[in-house]
Amino acid sequence: MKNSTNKPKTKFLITLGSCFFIYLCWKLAALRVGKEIILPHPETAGQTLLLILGTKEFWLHFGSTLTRGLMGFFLSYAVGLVFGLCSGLDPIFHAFFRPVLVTVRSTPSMSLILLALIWFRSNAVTVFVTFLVVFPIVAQNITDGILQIDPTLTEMAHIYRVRPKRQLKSLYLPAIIPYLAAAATAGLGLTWKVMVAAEVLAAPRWGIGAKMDNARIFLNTAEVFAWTTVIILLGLFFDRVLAYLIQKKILHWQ
Amino acid sequence: MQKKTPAGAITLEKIIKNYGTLEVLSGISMTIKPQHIIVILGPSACGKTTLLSILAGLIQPDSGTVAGIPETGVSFLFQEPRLLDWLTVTENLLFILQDKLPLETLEQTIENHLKSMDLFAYRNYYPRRLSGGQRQRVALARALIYPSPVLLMDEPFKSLDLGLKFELMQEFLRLWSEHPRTVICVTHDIKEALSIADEIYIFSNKPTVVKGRYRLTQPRESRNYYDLDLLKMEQNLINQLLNT
Repeated sequence: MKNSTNKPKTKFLITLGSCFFIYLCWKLAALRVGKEIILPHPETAGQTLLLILGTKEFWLHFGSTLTRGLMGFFLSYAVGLVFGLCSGLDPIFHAFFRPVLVTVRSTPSMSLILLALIWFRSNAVTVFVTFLVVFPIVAQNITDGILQIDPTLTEMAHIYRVRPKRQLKSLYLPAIIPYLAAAATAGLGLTWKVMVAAEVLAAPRWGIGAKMDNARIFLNTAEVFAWTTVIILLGLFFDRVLAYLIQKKILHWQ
Repeated sequence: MQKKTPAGAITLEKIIKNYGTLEVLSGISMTIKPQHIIVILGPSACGKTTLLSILAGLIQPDSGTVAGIPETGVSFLFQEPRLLDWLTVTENLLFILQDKLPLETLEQTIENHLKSMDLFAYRNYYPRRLSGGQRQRVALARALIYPSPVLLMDEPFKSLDLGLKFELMQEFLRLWSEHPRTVICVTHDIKEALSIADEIYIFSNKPTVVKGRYRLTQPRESRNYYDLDLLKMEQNLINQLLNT
């Protein structure tokens, strides 16, 4: 018996229904509060969003956040990948590296932001903080991935005397692709949140976080919501792109 | 005085292996002639797979010597296929062959080998598209294409149904007869042992030593399940295994 909820059209309708439900909750809450300065109506936030999208300044702020975010993410992913591989493959490295990883991961983002504000200029603060927050997630995911690899496959490669470089390229890296994907998805999602938080405090000249803080100062709550929507859409976009790349280009053998 | 190993033979001399206080192998000595098929029968957990692991170089014995393992290492056919899901059939063979054969002839060698095993049509398939039997056939192709004069097999036909088991066994014997190599096979299946072996070793359990050794002189092509001599041997093997 076919399960109708598995059909793409049904799933789309359910998702649409969910979005409408969110809108409805927001609308009812705004009506209940009755003050747009506290909670603007969705239509007001939407209008504000359209207004800011039409300005030249929007693209400068959006571009700055996007650039810094991607810089921080790619740097943390590259370094996290190397550390994760070393940690997964070498028990001594793993034992040495683990306290460092746990310390960095447990440090509150706000502590990192405040310290970075003392040490660096505002542009560097955001990249630095993003790096420190995302890097442990990537490293841990990749370590977990290496440790989860089917030992019968590594045993097969060992018996057949496959060279370490080939094992890394054709066995270890493909085997941990789901973990690489999870690290990318989680890392990228966190990047935008941390980036905006860092921009709010670091107040660079250009950046979405800086604009949000500016809107807060002038009690322009609708603008805060509008910029928040921009960040959500940015996160959704990269989430979809990643999902497409992973499914179509990388996991096509499944 | 150390015995000299005949050329191409594998010699095991008083192999002892313990895991903590558990003695797994208690002094195994065997001489395996080159290009012979040796089958090891024995009860579960008597150390048969441990012996294969020692021969494959995965673990070291606590004492005793192994002589005759080639520098190229050994080929291995496992109980499960152990194919890399993200590589095609051809790429799975390439994975173990690169750096072992000349690059110029590699592709042709793989192509010819797949054709000889009726796998050429599946050369670009990923393992998930193949049935269990086809995957084990690819694993057999991988084991046989690897350039080693020694092949180890750990219950290679166990997971297959009767029809597939018979088919793959015949395939293995056909290919082995074209390019004979020394084979050491571990199995629980007495009929399987009687079908393929030149010699059968019986391992006892606790202590694990070689308890019995049988030579089969009858050509494989003429062996059938109704042969009186084979039936008698089968009965002897059953009795020995029950008394280990």
